[in-house]
Amino acid sequence: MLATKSSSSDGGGMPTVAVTGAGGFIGRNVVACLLERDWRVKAMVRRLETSTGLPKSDRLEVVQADMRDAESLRRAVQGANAVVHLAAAMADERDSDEINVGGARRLVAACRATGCARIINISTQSAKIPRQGVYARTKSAADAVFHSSGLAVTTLLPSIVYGDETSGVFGTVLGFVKKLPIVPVLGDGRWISAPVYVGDVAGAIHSCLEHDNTIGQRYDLGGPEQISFDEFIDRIAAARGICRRKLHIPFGLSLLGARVATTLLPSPPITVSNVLGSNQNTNIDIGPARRDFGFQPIDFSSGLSRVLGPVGIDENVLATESIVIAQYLIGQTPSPALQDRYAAACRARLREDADVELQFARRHPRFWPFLDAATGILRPHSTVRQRVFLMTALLEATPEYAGFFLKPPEKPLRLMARVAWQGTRGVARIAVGIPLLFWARRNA
Amino acid sequence: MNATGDVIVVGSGASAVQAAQALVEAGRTVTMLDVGHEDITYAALIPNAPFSHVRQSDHRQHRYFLGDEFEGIPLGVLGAGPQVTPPRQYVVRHSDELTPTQAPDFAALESLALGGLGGAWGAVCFPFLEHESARCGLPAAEMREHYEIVARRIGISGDRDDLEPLHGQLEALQVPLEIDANASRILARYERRKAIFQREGISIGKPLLATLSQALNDRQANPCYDMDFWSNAGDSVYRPDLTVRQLQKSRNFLYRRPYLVDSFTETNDGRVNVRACALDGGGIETFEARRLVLAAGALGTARIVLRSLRQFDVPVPLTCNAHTYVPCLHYRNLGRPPCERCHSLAQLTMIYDPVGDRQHLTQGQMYSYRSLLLFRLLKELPLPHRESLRMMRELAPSIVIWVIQHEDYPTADKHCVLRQRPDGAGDYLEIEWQPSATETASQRSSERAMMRAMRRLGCWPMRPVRPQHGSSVHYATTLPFDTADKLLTTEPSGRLRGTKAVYIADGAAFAYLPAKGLTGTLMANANRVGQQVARTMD
Repeated sequence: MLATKSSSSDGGGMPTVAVTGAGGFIGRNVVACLLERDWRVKAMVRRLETSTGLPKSDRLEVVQADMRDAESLRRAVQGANAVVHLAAAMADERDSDEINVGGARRLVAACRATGCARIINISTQSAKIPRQGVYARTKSAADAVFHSSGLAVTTLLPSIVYGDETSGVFGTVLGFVKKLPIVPVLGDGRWISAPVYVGDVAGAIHSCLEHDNTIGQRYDLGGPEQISFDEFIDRIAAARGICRRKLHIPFGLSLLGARVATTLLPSPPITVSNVLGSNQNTNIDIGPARRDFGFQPIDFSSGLSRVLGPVGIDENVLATESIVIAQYLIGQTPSPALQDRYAAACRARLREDADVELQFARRHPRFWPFLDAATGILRPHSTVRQRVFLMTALLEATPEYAGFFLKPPEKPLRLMARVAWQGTRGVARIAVGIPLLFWARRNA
Repeated sequence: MNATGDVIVVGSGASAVQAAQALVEAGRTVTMLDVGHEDITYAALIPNAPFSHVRQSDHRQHRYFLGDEFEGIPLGVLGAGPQVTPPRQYVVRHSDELTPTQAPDFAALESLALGGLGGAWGAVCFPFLEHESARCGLPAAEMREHYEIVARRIGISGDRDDLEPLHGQLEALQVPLEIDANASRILARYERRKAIFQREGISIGKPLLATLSQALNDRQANPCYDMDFWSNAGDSVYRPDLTVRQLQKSRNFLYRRPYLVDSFTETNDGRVNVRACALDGGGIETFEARRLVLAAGALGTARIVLRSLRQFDVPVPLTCNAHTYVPCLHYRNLGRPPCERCHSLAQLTMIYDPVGDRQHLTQGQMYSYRSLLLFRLLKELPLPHRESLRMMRELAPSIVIWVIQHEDYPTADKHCVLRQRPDGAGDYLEIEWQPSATETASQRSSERAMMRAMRRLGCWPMRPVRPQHGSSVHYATTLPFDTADKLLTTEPSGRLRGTKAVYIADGAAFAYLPAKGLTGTLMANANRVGQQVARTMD
């Protein structure tokens, strides 16, 4: 009914694409992208209630379909010119084979039966790793099914896909960064990924539909930057104006934990596939995608600000910072009122983005004094130095600490000795601080 | 059209109020047009108590010491900032938008506040010597009388010491206020070696200050709470708004705000119309009077005149005293506690007379560093804050700042121009002010001589701080006194050349700026112009 209506009102010449997994994170974005580019879309969802996140359009038809049910697939694919295949069992579920591999066979059959020849198959970088868990194994098997089907298949293998605050690996890490003081990392944190913005993935899918030279090809999809998982976490934290320590759980222990969790829990927080997938590097080469269909992903920083908005400073970070600085200056912990005032002063007077030095100081609070010393010589207007200066002013204008600032003077000789001692200390601090500052910049 | 009686005075700063008072005393009716910002936030918060007591007891002190928006914490370059503490920020409120200036290298501070820049005045109030007055274009012989009138009106305290020959005698002088520990030690050393200092052209004494050491009318003597940068207890320091409040009791005086005066026109029957914008949303209004007295500050008055006479793109001269801060460690005072009962205004004045002919003086004012808070000092030190804080807190009671001020005279490289915006949306003042190499060299040489004297006085000079041009906020000469018949000058009587009824009562007319600080003379001259204007209306 819907389809009839839309084809009559919108011109029947428009091509139709069926999207499996349309209710999922990438699916929603793909549907929106295709609708924007004037396609008619049949959004295939297992449960109709997951379709609420889909955009409203009279070119959109939501159909109920299950990868385990051949008949439902055939009905859904009926009338479509192409299929975008996103649906997958990702959490090592017991029926992963049934959904991922069996589902691929059923989808191929449905396409053959309905005369839909074109398939864009979304796989994963994990399909390329040597030591595979259930997810990687079933996805690479599914890829083989598609490519041996004789249909016009293009397979895309995205790295980490990010696009909103809750979805995917990105959403999980962001959740940790927001809630936990220490972010747990499965493995050594050196795993390399190329985070790619979901809009770019959707755009790539659309480009593949439009470019016949992509038929039969497999393309890596990633952002322009390849970064370690530790840096992935740091960049997300920095975009929130904070920094987080990381707890690296050794690979073996992570794997054991994942096994135990999968055995004991119905929906485990981590799976063996998670551990395996985030500890084996793959060669992510987006050159072919650039060459064949003009893939031009945005960099991670731009993507982050699209997802999270401009950098916002977390209240807790400033409170911690005020304590660190006051401890350094006068050896006391400032009152909560003064901590709040520090946050207010920073917001009123300083730029909000954290430069290299500030990020470093926040990550390593014990180095604040040395960075203060080094920037005093090299960058007197740096934000690290200005923050210490602000705190000095705030402390001075607070009666509890006035005594410290109004100390009665000593006898001249003692006074000169004290001044000389403090001067020596200051110079020593600078001597340590300057190499530290260079080191921090180089490792930024 | 608002008929306003005899005279309209534009502005409420030091010049405006003295001109208005002279007119009111002569029986004329005066309408003062002013924007008239006031401090509505901070003054009421500041306790009337000594500095160290406030520091140790007042939990709201961060509000006025640092400001509600922390505007009192200096993060950028050093401009005219130090004296404009948060409780005085109202003095420059909205000037940027309402009196736009394009002056990349010049701190053009204008005030639209009630009391004008006088609200942040340091209160040093030296009369000019006769030849200095003459060079300004002022009638030297008449000026004495006006200085006396103003001194009686506002209350000036000071001493009759070595400086008297360098500023001339003032009969109406209150006894000097107590000076602080640093100052008395320096002064004693000067007295002991006076012969040497005088041989080198250095004279030192107590400044003449427009603050009371004895009650005057309903104002109180300075309580010596060391809070003068923050509050004005008992109205002991003279501020022009005091005169406005006093004049408002008179039936001949009307204070009208918030009006930003735009321009004037003269009518054929010898009256003046003044166009002003009512900033409370009332739009443009026109006021009519028999005489107009402009006292909107050298820059503000120039704007109004250039706009009224349609003299766009015509450069007029601008002078401004160059300023140098020399922080010194007064090592002879080390280990002595800071003075608890003192004021924070200038403690001593040093006048340097290189040749001995009193023709080219340089003046330095000494301040003890305390009530502006320690943290500002730390900014100047390239050491880590923890250590510099501990050093400075030991040294601060012995840190003094000499503020050296140089004379200034017009040259081709110091001027301002009123430019129309290309889109027709108003105009702005473009300022260029570059001292010549010769001027700078002679200033440096005077500074060196004064720093030699400082060393001999037990003050170790640290690196001199030269704030941005214009930071002294002593602006003048935009419409200079001139006896020749030239457009955009002021007749000796104070009348703007080419007009019948428009008078200039502020620094715009001073053709020269001695190193002394002009405020005392602004007031004396404004009183003179006020009397002149009253006389023309008999």
